[in-house]
Amino acid sequence: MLITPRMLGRFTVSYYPYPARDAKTGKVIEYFRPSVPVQISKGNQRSFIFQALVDSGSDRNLFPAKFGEQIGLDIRSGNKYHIEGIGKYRINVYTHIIGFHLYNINFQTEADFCYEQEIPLLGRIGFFDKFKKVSFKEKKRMVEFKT
Amino acid sequence: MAKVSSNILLPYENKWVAVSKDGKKVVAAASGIDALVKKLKGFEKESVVLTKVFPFDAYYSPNVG
Repeated sequence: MLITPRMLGRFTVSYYPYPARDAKTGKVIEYFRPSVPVQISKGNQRSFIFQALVDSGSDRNLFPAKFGEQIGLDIRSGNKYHIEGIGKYRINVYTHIIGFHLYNINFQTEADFCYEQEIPLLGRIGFFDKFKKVSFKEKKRMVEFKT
Repeated sequence: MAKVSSNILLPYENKWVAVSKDGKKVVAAASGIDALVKKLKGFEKESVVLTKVFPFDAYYSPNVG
């Protein structure tokens, strides 16, 4: 059964600061990325909370297989498909239905799991489409979600 | 979620880290998710936040491969 996000109105999440080397000066600076703390689950098993990149350029959710294994998924038993990204790399992914948790927003969704990609990505199908609106506030370094 | 300073991540380039819920310190680090989770045995699932510290010298754009 698909559970839609509970009505919370609107909330914002600050971008996450990562160290990065400035390409012009060579100095290490804070580089802010739209990454939010999420948790996934299956039955009564929950993963640790992990940061996932809110990625409007991704078609679907893509998580490292290791997070799926944490919640007891037999990764390769999922529906096998392919994802292609920049660099024309194509990887195998395995789709599963999981519980998804962002603060007190909880819903079931589809996510793809793979062994090659390390950064968890939140895509349009299965994440963005659970909200009425997702806005990037670059100047404020915040993502705003409207439920 | 507490405000995090990137300074605490400086020693962990290209590692997976677990940051305390208050965002003040890295409680464990490892080269991969599996190794990190092993180090977190006994920790509550909601007591830390895991993240990959990106390489410092590259911009990130999802590159599946």
